[in-house]
Amino acid sequence: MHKAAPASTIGIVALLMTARLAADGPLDHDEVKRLRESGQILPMSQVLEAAYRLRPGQLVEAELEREHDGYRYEIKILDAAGQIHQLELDAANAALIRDSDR
Amino acid sequence: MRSLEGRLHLGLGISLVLLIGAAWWLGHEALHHTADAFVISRLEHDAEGLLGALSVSSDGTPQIGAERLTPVYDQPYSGHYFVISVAGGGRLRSRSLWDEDLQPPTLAAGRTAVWRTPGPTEQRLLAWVGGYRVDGRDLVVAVAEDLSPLSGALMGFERLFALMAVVGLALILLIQRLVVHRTFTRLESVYRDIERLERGKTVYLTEDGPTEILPLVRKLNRLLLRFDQRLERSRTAAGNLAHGIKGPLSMLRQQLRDPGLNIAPAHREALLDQIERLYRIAERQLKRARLAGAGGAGVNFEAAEELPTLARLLTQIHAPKPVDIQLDDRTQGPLELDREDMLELLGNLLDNACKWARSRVCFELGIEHGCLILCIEDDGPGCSEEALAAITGRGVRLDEEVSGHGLGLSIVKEIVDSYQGRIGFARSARLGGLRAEVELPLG
Repeated sequence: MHKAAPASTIGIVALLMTARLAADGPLDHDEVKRLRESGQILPMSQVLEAAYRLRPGQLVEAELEREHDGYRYEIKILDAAGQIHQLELDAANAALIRDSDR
Repeated sequence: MRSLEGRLHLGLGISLVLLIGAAWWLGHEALHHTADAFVISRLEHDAEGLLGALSVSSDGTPQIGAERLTPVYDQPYSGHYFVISVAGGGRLRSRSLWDEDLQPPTLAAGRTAVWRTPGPTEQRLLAWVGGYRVDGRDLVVAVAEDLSPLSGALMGFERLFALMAVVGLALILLIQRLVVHRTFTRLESVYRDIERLERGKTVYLTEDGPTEILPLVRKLNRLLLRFDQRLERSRTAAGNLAHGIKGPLSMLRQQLRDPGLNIAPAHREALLDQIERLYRIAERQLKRARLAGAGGAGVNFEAAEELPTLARLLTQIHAPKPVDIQLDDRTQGPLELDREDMLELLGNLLDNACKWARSRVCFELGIEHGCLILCIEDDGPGCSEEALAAITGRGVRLDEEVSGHGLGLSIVKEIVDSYQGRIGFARSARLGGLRAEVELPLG
């Protein structure tokens, strides 16, 4: 039993981590970089290209959120008319999921 | 390149292109240098701000008080980035770098460097890198800014400068062209004078031109004067010679006619004949010198100016016989014929016509097929058919007096020949007397 204790501790920690990872919410930029380097998500420049094709303008904020089925970019673009557009794109293939204005 | 204007344009164009190119290069360098220096000083301040908020934990992980950062370092791909790299420890990237990274050079504590590197989405970054020692650990702080917006503005300015330079160059060349053309129009007075000189309206060129060509004009004027004097001298000499030999010739003639002179009649006639010829040559030269009058070298003949005077002169010479000379001048302006030659030719023909006319002489002057056609008719007795045939026939020496008519036409013949012209005689259908027709090619 003595040896089980560390194992269970690791298990709990792993469980806690999974729980944290599974939780919805924005990821920090170091995690984003790791995900990108591991190939799980596209580089943001490619996602941005797709977003700019839909809404030309200037990037003002981006967030990467974990969903139960993958990762989702939330991108805010300021267009030439001064309007902010909020787009949601699939981080794995840059496909549009939601456009706040449509 | 022979055109003065072309040379001026080339010279000015090359100088201006060099000057404007140098100014453009200097402006370009100064602008970029200033812009970079401005950005770098700001980056340096940001780096100092970061250092103030920076701490390194014992395991080498850099940490920063987030409240000390401006939001631009949090906004992804904002163009403002920083990287803190602890030697043998952790790294800290600004959130703005997002999924990208920068690899600043490693610097020892106390060293700084300026570094250029490409950034996310094709940004061109200018970075300030400094080596520090914080909490006992060596680390490098790199703060970078995207220069693209600034370069865009600078490029716009440089394009404007280049456009202005090209327009300015074109304008300056245009102005020079105008100046050169204005200068050359000032030469017009000289051109006009040369034309007037050709027509005999003036004897020298105006000195009212650009100072640069004044020496040339003065030299030409001196030359013209010298030619004129030379001509005058030779004319005077010919006149003097003719006058001088007339006296001795008269003496010779008288002595030859003296019946007391013991000489065979045939010889006497032959000698007298030769003396007559010499006498006529002298007469001709004298007449020539008198008719020449004023006027410079190579003065062209202008019928409208000369003929009325000539007609009046001849009427006076033949007074008291009332001779009416009818002039029909269909020419305009000066003709390409020497004034003296024409005066001599016309003077002789008209003089002859007046001599034989009862009261009327008709004189027509016209141009046909590039030839001047002269037609002089009188209402005198005219010539017999044989005499006409004799004076118009080939090889007839016109200076020999034609039976009883005294047509001293050798000068006329000589002048017509010198112009490769033709002369013909016929009976005048209009006035009944002699009709002389002369054809002189022009130009």
